[in-house]
Amino acid sequence: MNAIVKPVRDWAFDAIGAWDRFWFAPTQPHTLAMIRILTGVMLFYTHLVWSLDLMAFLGPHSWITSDVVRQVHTLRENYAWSYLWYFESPAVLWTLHIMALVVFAMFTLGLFSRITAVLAYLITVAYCYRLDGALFGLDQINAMLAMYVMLGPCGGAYSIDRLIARWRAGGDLPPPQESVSANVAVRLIQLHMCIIYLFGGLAKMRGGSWWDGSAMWLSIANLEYQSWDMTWMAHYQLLIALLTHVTVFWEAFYCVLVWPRVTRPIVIFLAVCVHSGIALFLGMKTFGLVMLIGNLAFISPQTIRALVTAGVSIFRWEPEQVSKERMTATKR
Amino acid sequence: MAQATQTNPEPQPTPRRLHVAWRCVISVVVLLHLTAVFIPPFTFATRSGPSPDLVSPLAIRVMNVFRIYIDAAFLNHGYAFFAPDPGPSHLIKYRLEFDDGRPPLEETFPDLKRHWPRLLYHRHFMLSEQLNGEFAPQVMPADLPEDQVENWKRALESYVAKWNSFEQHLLHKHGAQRIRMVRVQHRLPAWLGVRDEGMKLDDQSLYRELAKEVDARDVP
Repeated sequence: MNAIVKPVRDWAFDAIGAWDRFWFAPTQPHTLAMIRILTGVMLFYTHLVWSLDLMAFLGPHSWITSDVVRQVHTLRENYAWSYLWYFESPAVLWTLHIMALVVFAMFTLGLFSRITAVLAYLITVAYCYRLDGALFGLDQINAMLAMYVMLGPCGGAYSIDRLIARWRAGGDLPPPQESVSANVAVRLIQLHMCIIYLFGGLAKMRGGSWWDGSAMWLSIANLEYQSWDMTWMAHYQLLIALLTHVTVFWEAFYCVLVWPRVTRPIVIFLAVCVHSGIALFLGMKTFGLVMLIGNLAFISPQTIRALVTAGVSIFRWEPEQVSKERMTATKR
Repeated sequence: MAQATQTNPEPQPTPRRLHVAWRCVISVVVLLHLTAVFIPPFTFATRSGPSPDLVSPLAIRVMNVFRIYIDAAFLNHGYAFFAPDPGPSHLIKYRLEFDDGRPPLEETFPDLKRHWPRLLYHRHFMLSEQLNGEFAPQVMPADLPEDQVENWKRALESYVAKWNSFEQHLLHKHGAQRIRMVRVQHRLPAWLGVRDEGMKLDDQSLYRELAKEVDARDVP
């Protein structure tokens, strides 16, 4: 009996330990903070673009009026709700819209980040439920990232909040503290990305063109999506088939291969290739970029910190060093 | 912005471990949330026909349990990008007529020349694409199963409401009195046609108007 009980018990303890390490190992906030900045930029830009024709999308004579949106949600029997359903006055809508843009800007810069992160998420969902019919994958990922970023200390690094804290402390602060909530937020982004890719891959597997190798052609031959003419690929059928098969296998197995250290760089590299391709050639720069922001959750805080430090050191202006160099040059 | 890598002689305080009770609570919440994330695309993936009701009964049961949370958190997505097959595009063409002597105006959207930046163009593309995607025939299909009649009625009501809203928007925007709006399907050329015959993606033979009564999804 012991021969059965002991391995099962050992396995259970191992599993509990692994679960505990996966979710509750405290981590630094740099990855989450970088995702906050990039998501904030994306939210700000996404909503800034609505401003170009705000009344056509939110106004009393919009493409899909508030009344119709509410009617559609009632017919779908869902629990959608948006504060934008209740306003039709252009002045009020513009005021609310500018306030939303201010919140997104503060969220990006990390000013009152714990509050603005929650507001950014609520505003994003409210816009999504008002703008039914004009949404696409970008909006789904925007809302997903905003939801998870608000769960952790997203202003714990690279933020005005941190600058204010340093100013109040009258000097340097200790490095940002590791926290469980930063880890939980990033883990949730990782798992959500896995679910997105898994079902993206499974849905493609139901289509014949993803098996016969022609799906990539059908994508690049779509004039309405096209931002770069890639029809020269009609002369390279094998290349089209290769790209099709790689895409569907990468997407379907992302949720497995992104975890081992050996395969993670390959999976992330393929993500960069696929989403850059969508951004450059299929006219969806924003969607391509927001998917890459989601993939950033698989980059460790240490790597993010090292990259930012390297990037900052290139552009940093160090007056003390410059004056020392000048003095040395004068002495010569 | 503040840098994360300030050198500081003070050692970083050791982060406190969460109490085991908190870890249990968070674990349960996380599992419930991930179920809510998983269920909508899973339900969508189990669809075996055009009706949203032809899905796994288990999926729909769990979906209904989590429905309030899924909707409130904006999690009800299928994530089926470019799937099952990348298909033709759908545009909206309209002709506006004016009583004030202006000549009729004919336009199509989305239109790269009028809609800039690209994201604004894509919003208009989604308007036309999703209106087409919600098409419901105006006459009830003769072979529609009895338990699907209510779904068809709801789909038609939603489609007609959106269609009318589009028309009202265009009439108001241009100050026109009459409008005729049609859906246009832009089919994709076969790669052989492009390679061997030099067919262009905007070849007129690839466009076809879809009558209001014809289901776009049934057009070969």
